[in-house]
Amino acid sequence: MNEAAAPLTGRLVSDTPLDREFEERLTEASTLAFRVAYGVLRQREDAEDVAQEAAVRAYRGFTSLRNRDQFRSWLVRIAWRLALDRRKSERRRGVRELKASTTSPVPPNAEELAAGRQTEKRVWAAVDDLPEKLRIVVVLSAIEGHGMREVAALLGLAEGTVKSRLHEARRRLLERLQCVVTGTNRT
Amino acid sequence: MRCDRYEQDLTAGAAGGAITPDLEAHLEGCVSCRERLAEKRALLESVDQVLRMDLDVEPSPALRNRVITRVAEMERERRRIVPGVAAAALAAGLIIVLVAGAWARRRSSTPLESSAVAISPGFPVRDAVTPETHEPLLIPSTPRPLVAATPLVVQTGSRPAVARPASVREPEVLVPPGQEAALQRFVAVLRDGSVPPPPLLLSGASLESLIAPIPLIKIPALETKPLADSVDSPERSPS
Repeated sequence: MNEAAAPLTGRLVSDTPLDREFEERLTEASTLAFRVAYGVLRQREDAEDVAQEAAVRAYRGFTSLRNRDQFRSWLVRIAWRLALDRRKSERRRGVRELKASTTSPVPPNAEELAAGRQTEKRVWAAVDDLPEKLRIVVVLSAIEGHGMREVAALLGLAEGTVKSRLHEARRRLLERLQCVVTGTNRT
Repeated sequence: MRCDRYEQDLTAGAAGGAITPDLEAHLEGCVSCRERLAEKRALLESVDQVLRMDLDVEPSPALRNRVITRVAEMERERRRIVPGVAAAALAAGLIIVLVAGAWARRRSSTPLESSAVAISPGFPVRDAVTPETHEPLLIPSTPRPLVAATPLVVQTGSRPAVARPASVREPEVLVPPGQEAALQRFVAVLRDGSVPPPPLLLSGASLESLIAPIPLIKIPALETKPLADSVDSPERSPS
């Protein structure tokens, strides 16, 4: 893809038009890829590892991408798949989850803090239990205020399909969380 | 409790689905169900809030440098591997070509079929012609350097001969019956190279004298007779 690797002067690898285009598109989409990975792993370091790997894979396949305007959605799907694979791999190895980082506002007292963390944990546990195709819709619609149209474009789906899946996901989340709130045991 | 039957509709409505007319009518008269619907919507709103806040994260500034470093390393590795792979592929290709050539030479040392083109001069004509069987006569060649040709089963006597090593003799030639002398003259002229080879057919000879007429097959005349006109014939429909 490029003739010679340039030193780390702020540009990606070289000054070829292709590399410049890749860098521009990556700059625009890399944060989204990170957030998608974070939506699965909820560990900053792990999400950055996945985002880095997704960018590298995207670089490898950039020349063969038929429509480079779909780079953003392509990168999102790569990051999503890598994040899921990493999570499955960690579960198989029995890696204990570290404390999840959060950006929730700090409540004024410890009880509210604990309650907030508990709610957050329950919410993510319910999201993690969703089927994969419902889960990604929930995560993407919660990132950056994406509407149905943006989520549909990222996933390459019709808006009606996204709307239907989001409705089904929210219905399942509600049933799951209502059981938790009311204390009903539900597997 | 009659409100229980609306539980699923309330959940679907809170999740963003349409409120059914039946539920809408019930909500107008049921405070409890209105409160339930509001609780469900609030729960989902809290879910949305948690997700939005947790996913509103930024990657560290080092991520970009990590990507650059990784890609640069990948490119360096690719440039290092590619020449080695190309050299290995070239060496493998040369080995394959050499092996294939040696194999081809070994196979060409086997005796030829009738399409063989190798011709050796001065070979003796066998007098073991078998006109009764009309077997083609095989003219053994004198040992010469290898000439590539198609394989052939050599008939010496009543059994095939074993192919000789390619480095020892040329492949042998199948000769049609009666043409051995003509072929011998042809080969001698080719070796000499000074006189154009004479035609295999003698001047003035006619093909008719060489080719036996093909006997005509007498086909006896067919006797035809009409079919019997029977009402039981299946081809005829009853009138």
